[in-house]
Amino acid sequence: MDWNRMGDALYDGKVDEVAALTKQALDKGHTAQEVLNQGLLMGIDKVGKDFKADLLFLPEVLRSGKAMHAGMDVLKPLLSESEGTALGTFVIGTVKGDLHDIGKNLVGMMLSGVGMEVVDLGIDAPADKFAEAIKEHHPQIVGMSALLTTTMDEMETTIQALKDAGLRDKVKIMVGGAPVTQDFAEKIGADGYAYDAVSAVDLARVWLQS
Amino acid sequence: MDTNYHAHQTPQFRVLSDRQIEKLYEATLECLNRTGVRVLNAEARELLLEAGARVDGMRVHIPPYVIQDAVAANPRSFTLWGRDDEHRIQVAPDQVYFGPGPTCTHFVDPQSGQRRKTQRRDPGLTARVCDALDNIDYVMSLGLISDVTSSLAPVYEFAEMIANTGKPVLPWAYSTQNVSDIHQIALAIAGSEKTLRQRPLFALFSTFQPPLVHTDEDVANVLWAADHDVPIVYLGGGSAGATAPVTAAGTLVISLAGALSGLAIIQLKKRGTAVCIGSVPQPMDLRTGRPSYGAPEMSLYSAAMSDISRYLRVPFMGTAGASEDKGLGLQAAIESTLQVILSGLSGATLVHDVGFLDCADIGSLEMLVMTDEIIAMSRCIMRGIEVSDDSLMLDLIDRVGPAGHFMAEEETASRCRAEIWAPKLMDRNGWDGWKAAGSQTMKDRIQARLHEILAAHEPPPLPKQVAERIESILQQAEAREEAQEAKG
Repeated sequence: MDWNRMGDALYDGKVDEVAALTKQALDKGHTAQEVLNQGLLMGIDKVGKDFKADLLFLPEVLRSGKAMHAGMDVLKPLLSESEGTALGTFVIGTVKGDLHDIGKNLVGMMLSGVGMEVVDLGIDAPADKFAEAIKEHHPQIVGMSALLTTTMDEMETTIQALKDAGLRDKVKIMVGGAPVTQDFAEKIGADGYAYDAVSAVDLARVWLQS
Repeated sequence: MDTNYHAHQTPQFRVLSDRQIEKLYEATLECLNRTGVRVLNAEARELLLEAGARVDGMRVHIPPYVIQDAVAANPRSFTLWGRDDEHRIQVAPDQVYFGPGPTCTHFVDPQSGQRRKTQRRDPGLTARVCDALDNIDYVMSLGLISDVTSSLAPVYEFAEMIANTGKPVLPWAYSTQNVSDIHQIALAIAGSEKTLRQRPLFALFSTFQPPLVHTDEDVANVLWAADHDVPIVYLGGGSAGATAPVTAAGTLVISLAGALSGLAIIQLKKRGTAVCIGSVPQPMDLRTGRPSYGAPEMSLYSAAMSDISRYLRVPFMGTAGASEDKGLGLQAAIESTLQVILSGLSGATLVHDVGFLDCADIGSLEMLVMTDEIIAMSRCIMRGIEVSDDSLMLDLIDRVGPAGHFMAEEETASRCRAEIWAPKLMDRNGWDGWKAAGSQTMKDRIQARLHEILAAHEPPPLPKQVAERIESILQQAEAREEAQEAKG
């Protein structure tokens, strides 16, 4: 199997070609795990590195992400749940009372673009919605966003609710949004703060590797 | 299809109306006929006399038809080649290229950051940096070399430049002997006289002296160049209030009269020689009397000269990226930005002097690197806006719909680079991102980029035998100078 060709197709964001090459690799007798590790993950790794090096731009990364997912759709039925979400699962939402989602969407797209499984709870998400998502999807990371100073305190409420439900220690919690700062993140007991979408992806990667 | 409709129109900054342009051109013709020019070169006086000019000592009164003939004879468009084909430029009205300027006495040492006399290696450094910068299209030296035999400084300068860039180079010369040496170096690279004539690797940069003087040396140099099919840039100033009338219109007449009478001399020598006329019309500073490169009037007058040149269909050399600042400071950024945007929008062909500080006395590679980014921003604006069925993207808008987003659409990925400019030096991080990237100032980033280029950029290498040939041309020139000194 020409893994370089698959990597190139993924890098160039060729959705159909990546799906076709994924099927072809399986037909040739490669296991789903091999296709994932040799083909898709290698390709998306180069995308991430080149984005960091300013060689690729956001929309191109997202296009590669789409191609990655086209390959994953083929492989998923053949992989165990943990293998299928090899790069991690990230639950993300805008907290209760806040209807802003541009930044949150961007973070979600970026995470998805680098191959992570993203569960988007949308806007105005109350604490119990986050709790249910943790139970259902077993994410490693939960991301919360708020744009308003009036709603950012809802993040603290949500973290408290997760503690009460016994779920807090199952996940890392990342917070972000215009009024949020590192100090605030520490004060409310979050594990980390990301100042923009790219730093959110970086932080998620660090956490998932450790 | 739509009729009478431009899908893509470059924004243009026009200073003069059609009628004003004609009036200025007619006034220039009258000035050249009535007042005439002082021509210190005998061959040029002879050429003008034969063509119908009245010659009175050194003063030559040129009738309008000689000028009009010269304008008609000049090619509207010609190509300047670099050592590598991809960097050739089409010198024609409405094409806009940027490059540095020549002969700065001082140079900012890229290592120490200190102003010092220009050294032999500096033009090579300038060429290497130009070679690496996307928005610099041709090379001039930013320095007058102080540590070689002074009469050969322009030859060393050319040798250093051409070895360090694949882009076209614009040398200047003190003497026809210099031009000949420079031509020999270009021949060594081109391989044959025929190739060099067909694909000129350099254009000779030469100047006239305002008001209304053509020196013996400069004219001899351009006549030599014309004889050898070397393209020529012929440029001069006119400092409002000092070497030109205090009015903008009067300064334009002085600038245009110098340029067009020079063009006439060149076309009479060899009809069809490729010439780009040029001008750095600026106001005298009212406090110091110095010509002011940084003055907004310089950009205004230059834009007017662009308007006139476009009307005449003669390529024009303008000026930008040239500051009065003494180092890379706020004044440099302000002056450079204004000059670059106005030069670009006015459509000057060869915009030069990028990298000047202290009114042309200091050459600065940092200024060159900074202005490269300013040019990139200006080119973004010069591009204008494409309005077409394709670019309106109504189908995509309909597909994405209200409250959707466009970021992950195929059209966005495939067109983002062409549509949205990505800065190299401008910081657009948020505060935390900026801190995480090292809290660098613009100046820090400019210096980092400069040092990265100087450390890592490799211009196309000269073949070994060509480099040796150039070295032997330089040695012969030295031996000749020594012999002449011994004689004289």
